[in-house]
Amino acid sequence: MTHYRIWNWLFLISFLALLAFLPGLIPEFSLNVVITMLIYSLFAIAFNILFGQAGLLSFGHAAYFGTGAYTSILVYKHFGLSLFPGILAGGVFSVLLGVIFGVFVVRLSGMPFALLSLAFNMLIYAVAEKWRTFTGGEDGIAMQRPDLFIPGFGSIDMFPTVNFYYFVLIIVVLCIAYCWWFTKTPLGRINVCIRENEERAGFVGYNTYTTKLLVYLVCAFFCGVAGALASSFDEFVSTSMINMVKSGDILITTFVGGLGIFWGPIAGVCFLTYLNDTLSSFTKHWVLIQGAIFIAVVMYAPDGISGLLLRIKNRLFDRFKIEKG
Amino acid sequence: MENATILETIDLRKDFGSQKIINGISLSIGRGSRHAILGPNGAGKTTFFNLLSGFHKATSGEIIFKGNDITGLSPYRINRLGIARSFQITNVFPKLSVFENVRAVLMSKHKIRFNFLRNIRKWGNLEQETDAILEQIGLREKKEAQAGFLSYGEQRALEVGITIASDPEVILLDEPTAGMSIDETRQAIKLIDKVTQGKTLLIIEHDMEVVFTLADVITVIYYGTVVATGSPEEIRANQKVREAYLGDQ
Repeated sequence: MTHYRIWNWLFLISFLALLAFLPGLIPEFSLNVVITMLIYSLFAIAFNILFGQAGLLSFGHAAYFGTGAYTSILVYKHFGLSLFPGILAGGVFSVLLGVIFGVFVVRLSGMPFALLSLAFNMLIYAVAEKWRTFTGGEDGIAMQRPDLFIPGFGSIDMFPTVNFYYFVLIIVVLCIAYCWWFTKTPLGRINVCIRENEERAGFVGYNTYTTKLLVYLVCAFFCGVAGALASSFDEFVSTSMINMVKSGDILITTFVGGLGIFWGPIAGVCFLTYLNDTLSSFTKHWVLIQGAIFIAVVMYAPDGISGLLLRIKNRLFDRFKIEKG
Repeated sequence: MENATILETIDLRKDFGSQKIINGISLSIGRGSRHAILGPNGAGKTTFFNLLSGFHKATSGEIIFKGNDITGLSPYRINRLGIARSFQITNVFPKLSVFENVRAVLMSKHKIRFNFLRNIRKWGNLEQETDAILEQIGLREKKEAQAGFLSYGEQRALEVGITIASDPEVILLDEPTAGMSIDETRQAIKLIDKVTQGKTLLIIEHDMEVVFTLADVITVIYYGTVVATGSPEEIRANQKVREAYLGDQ
């Protein structure tokens, strides 16, 4: 047991070390792809707190991603905030939106939950599209990302991709580390209990409504942070960050990665982003291939890529055990 | 032998549409008593429990717990006041380990509900307490096992464990030995007897042997009304009960 744990830590540390030295190893163009992977990894991990751990399937989480994205660009533009407060504002505003929507949606679960979250997503999308003076409508808003200001240290120019890469890396690693930690906390554990048996959780003394609402807000916060990072990276926000296609994408990505394992969604993000990046240079119809992969995973690997990898790993380890005698 | 009343129902009624399931049950449960509810299928025993535990809201009538009206409170509030129930159909957290099933209840008991910053392992006594409960219900060896994969008897034991873990004053057990063999039933009775010492126990049971060994008060329910309440001897001798339920001649 502890043996496995040491290997897991070693793997994690070498993976982080690789990420830390990555800018020296790959061209800037590829670094952009990695930044995208990092940001969507956070989105998918946060989404999976609800989808995998709470068992609540949301068709509308672009609402929070998009709110974070719009918020950060708008606060850069109108209040001249620096980078970090802008990202934080994205998360905070997503939480505020989460309170408004959450008090209604967490009363539900299953299909009604999915549909109501979709409805709320459409509502917020309509706001982003129609409130042209504020959001720029379909044209969106472009805004250069500001410098990172660290009190007592000064400003760091965020224009070079490498600098922004390190900023994203630190924020994403910290956020994902917390999401992992969250699964070990009382709220994280109760979240899983409620997924398993909401009725019984009530009968042993949990207010399942409040619990689900809190979990919903934790999820909204990190979705918002991911959105804020995404729009800061693109230096642009438009309705494509808040529409239903985005909601569908994150659902597919998380599912393809595998929702049963904490790290699963990251596998989905890396795989599909890489595929998207490679295939889109060959054909315009790469979405077709993405769709085919989704169908294949749903039908033949319901545990996703991570489940598949885990199964292969277990089989290999078993074989080694046998060979050692 | 007659103790102070801890739980009381006053003319409790429950209708589902035009169907009157509970037709005015007035019952007082003495503190520390072992009270069995007896009655044929469909008599309204489980519905009565559902009212007491807050799963259903009563159509009319009152439920008084330690002098306070608890009618219409939600299940989690009633549980926090000190009334815990088990279920006839095993109702655990199937994909979690046995250990986690019980620990979840203890977290609730210690009001560790919404903390999202500290690792659960930091509450050191939680693990010891969980182990103690598992020891009591004989599942210590199986603590890492997934609850859904336990044998039927073990799941029933876990069901009891989850119910008693919050250290309630009143324990409602809904047919804890349903579907068990004679041997399993005897073991289950021993377990229930052991873990409910000093508590008020309200138990629904079909098995006569169980009822007459475990209970000191028996209430017979028939079509949502109380036919008789009394000591096992009185119930055995009661002519109305014999006709309605015990199937004498």
